[in-house]
Amino acid sequence: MENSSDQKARKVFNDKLKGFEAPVDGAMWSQVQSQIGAVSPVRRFWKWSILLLILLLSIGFGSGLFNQKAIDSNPADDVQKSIEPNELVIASDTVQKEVQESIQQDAMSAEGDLTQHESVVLTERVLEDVSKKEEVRAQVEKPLIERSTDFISMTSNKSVTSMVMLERISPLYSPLKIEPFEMINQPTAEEVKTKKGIQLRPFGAVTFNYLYFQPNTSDDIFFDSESTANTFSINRVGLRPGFEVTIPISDRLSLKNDVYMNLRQFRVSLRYIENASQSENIIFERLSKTYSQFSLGLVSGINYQLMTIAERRVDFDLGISFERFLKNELSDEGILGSPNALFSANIGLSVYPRPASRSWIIRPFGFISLNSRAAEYPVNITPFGFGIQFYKNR
Amino acid sequence: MQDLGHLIDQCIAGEQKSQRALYDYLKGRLMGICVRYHLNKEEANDVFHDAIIRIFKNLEKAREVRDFNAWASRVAINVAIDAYKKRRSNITVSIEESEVWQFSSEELDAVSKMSASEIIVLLQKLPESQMITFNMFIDGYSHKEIGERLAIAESSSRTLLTRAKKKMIRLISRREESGK
Repeated sequence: MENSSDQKARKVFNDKLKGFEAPVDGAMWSQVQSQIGAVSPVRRFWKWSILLLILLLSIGFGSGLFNQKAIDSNPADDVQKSIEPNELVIASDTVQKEVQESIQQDAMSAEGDLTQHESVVLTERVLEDVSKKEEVRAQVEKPLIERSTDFISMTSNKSVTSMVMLERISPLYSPLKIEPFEMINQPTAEEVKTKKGIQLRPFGAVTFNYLYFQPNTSDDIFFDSESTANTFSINRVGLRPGFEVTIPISDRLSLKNDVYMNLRQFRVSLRYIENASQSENIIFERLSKTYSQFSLGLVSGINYQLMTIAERRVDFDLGISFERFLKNELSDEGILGSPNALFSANIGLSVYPRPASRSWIIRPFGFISLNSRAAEYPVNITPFGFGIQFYKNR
Repeated sequence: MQDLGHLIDQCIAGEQKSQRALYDYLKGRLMGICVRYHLNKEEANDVFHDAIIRIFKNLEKAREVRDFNAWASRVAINVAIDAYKKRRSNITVSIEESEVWQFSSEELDAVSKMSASEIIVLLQKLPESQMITFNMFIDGYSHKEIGERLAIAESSSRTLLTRAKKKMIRLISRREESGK
């Protein structure tokens, strides 16, 4: 329990210190501003990767089922074939002829001098002609409309919309303007199949590289990271040229192997105190440097043909890479730890150009190291990053 | 308070001007706490930085609190204590003192005549563990709370406070004598 003397002392000190304000360094705001609302880059990377993956897999799975069903068995193909374009032209001509005759008769009648009785008779005849024409038109159009309607209902599971189909069929209702019925172009099974055979192609990639720091809690060194380099700083850029070999396994699956050279840079900005528990006055030592690494690497993984969007093929790939460093500035740094060989998980998405185009295949990809968390270093680093790879389409 | 609530809402919405205004509103007082809890300027700057970031990231919670200033101060104190704990993994206190030290009314009168800066200069002459404990005592923490926050026994908190008071009384007396 607290005695009155303590309460009084607390009140005196508190009254004096409550409103105490100390000056703040003017540069502090810019540091604070850059971090308000900021999320860990690793967490952000994974969050967006997983969301993107779920989205793509959902679309790909749905699209795959949809296309497969349409390719396997489509009774609409038979119906479509049974409605010959010639039939539609004939129907159109018949209706058109009837209408033209009617117009001619009307004109001739109007030219002569007519009695009232004659006018009545003529009017009746015209009405009779009109109803006759409607009957003829109904007789000609009815089976066609029925068959077309059947065709729409049976093609509902194909990747064409009903709106497109109705636009194609609508000329049937116009007696004066009609166009031959056209087949809707659908990607056939052959078109969506992966090109058979082993493919070898060169590529180039630009990467952005980051490090995730994880201090070793069993030692007596206190670390604090500082954000001094921008997310897309030139100090984080890397280049990755190489060759890719694709070996098809099935229509959609293929083995994907890359051999590449990797030149990359990392920006390290941290401060630390050695023997933190023993020192009374804390003075941080700063480490702020850009390190570069050069390595030879090999990626092996699988490539899955995910979907086709607007005639552009989209592939998803997943692989493991192995890199051996030929130059590793990080390994010379005592505070940081980096092994001489790195295993990484790779995830990518290849977007092909349209079949007729010979432009570039673009592959955004991400990677994260799997083996860098070695316990013997004061701070363990996990390289991760993303990049864009370019292939020439052949 | 209505204006402050509006300012907090705008900060949550991401308006930079409002964020700057709230920062300017808080900075002096929060830095005062950080200076009080830490021995050097650089460390106080680090704690201030972490505290202000934590406040901005938890502004949603601040909507629910009745006294935003008290909440912000408590966040800064917690960050300061965490920073101290991070550096000092174990606080060992030998409990050999049974003597009770209390401030006399003359000593408290002397304190009330001092400026805040003068009191902080005296506080910074205490060993760090005693300084933290004394500051927590001033900020209304009970011995139980001090023990929990610093991961020490309640009795250790009492011992540290007693030693802090003893040293503060000596420092105040010495200052008074040199003043006369």
